Amino acid sequence: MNSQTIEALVTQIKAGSLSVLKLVEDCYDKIEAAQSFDFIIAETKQRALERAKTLDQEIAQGKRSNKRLFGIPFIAKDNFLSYGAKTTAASKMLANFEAPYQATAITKLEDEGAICVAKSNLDAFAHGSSTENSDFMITKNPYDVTRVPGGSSGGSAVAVALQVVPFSIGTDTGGSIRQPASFCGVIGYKPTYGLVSRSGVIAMSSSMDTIGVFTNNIDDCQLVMDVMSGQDPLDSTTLDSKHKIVYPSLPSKSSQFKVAVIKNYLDDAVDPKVRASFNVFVSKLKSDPNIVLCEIDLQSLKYALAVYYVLGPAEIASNLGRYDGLRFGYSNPSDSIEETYLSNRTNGFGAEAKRRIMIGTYVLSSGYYDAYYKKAQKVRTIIVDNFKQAFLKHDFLIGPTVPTPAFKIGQKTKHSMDMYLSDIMTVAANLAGIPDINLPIDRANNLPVGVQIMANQTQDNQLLAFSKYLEGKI
Amino acid sequence: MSEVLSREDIYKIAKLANLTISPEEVDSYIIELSAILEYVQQLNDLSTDKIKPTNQITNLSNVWRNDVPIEYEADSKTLLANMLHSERNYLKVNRVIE
Repeated sequence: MNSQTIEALVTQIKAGSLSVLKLVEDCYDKIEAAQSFDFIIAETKQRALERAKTLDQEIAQGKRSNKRLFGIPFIAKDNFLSYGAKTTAASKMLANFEAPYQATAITKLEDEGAICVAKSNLDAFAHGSSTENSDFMITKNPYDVTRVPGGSSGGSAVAVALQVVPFSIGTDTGGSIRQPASFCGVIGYKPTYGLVSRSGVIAMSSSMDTIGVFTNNIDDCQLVMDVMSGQDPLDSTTLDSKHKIVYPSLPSKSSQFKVAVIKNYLDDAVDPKVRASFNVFVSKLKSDPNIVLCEIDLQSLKYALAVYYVLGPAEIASNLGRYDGLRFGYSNPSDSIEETYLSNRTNGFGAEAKRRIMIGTYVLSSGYYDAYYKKAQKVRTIIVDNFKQAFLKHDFLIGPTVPTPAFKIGQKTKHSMDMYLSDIMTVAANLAGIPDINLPIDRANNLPVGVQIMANQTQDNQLLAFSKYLEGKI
Repeated sequence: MSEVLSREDIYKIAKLANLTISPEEVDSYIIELSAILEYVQQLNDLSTDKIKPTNQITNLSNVWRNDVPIEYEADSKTLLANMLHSERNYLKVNRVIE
């Protein structure tokens, strides 16, 4: 079904030639058939089937609808608060958590007629790059079940790669959409910081968290981002709606795209097969008369991961400070309030959450704040300025999304630094708050390889227009 | 690999973070956390004396709204159901002040 665009599906539904109930039931059949990939935490079946029946009735009664996602099923990463199932963030801490309200992103999708059919697996609290840190199960890569799907939005990437749903949503704080999109061979979009409301999404690192989408074509990506983006009174970090993504695209002002290859993203750490695929992609751009291509050296980017692993944990430690197990979450009360806090947090958090809380607490603690936290904030400024300079001359910056294709399950779990390094080329976009997309370009030994394209802050529409231009050419 | 952190450091950080670390876990925390801190030392290669820290990246400031109540759907029954102990719409906790 997903060889068709969402728009085409909606047209058929509204014409009465495709039943929403059938579409939703098909999703559950596909989830069942793909069970061995362990990508779903919970189905939201009852709610989804009821919504499907209601929409089918509207069509049967001849009601007209302007809803742009009318009857379209989707899957949400399980760190979005939603009705119909528990919201767990794949953590023992929230294993029994019932959302008292929904994330704005989910509500906006539902208001346009979309139907959430299931919640997908992730690294617990979105801490990870392989979905192996889930407290419940390890998701498998659709191209090789001995390999990881990437993470932390691994379950959502697998859902779209297996064509269970036309789109799925995820969160991206350091690469958690783009990296699994690259490993699973799908489109993954991380918008400008503040473009999509984070109300009702479990916070990780608030100065970098963004919400985006996985799809199999650019039109679907742009349509879903159009629906989700825009200012929200419930999230004061959201940008003015004049920056929102619009679908269909407005006519482009320029017919020429100025593109720069980030040279330092092609160093020795990059797998030769990834480099080869990327070079083929670059040669295609070179021969395109509408693309002006050059190279750029962004020296500050080599510090991006170090900045990320100071600021990220600092913000995680702060955000996870609220988990005391009293109002919600894992609870194993003791005699005193102090012991109750200790018991709830120690038993409710998994190893990676605790590791990040410990690092974050340390870099924020008295005597180390200036040396680590403030230092990292200053280097962040250097990185932001480096990007600003680059975007004065170039519209888009490109490089491989990840240095390698999907790695083996268990390959990087021994030392956390090994795992962290797989985000080395994606974290910079989060530090700078700029939009970034993963496009699948090739297979290396049957494993997907992706390219990332970054644009300046709020240039999301231009980035999607360029991605659309490239679609089919690469 | 040098050990940036001592056992005492680990216990102190854990206390600040309201976590209990077992004696068996301390060694692995020393190794893991030291490796991360070692990696981030490279930030000291850059001189940042005259550079301002970045707190947020989109330059929004003072986002205001009218001070009027809005309809909000959060369901108090569910909020209370998430609590292990509640009584008459209140959260019930251990005695805080002895």
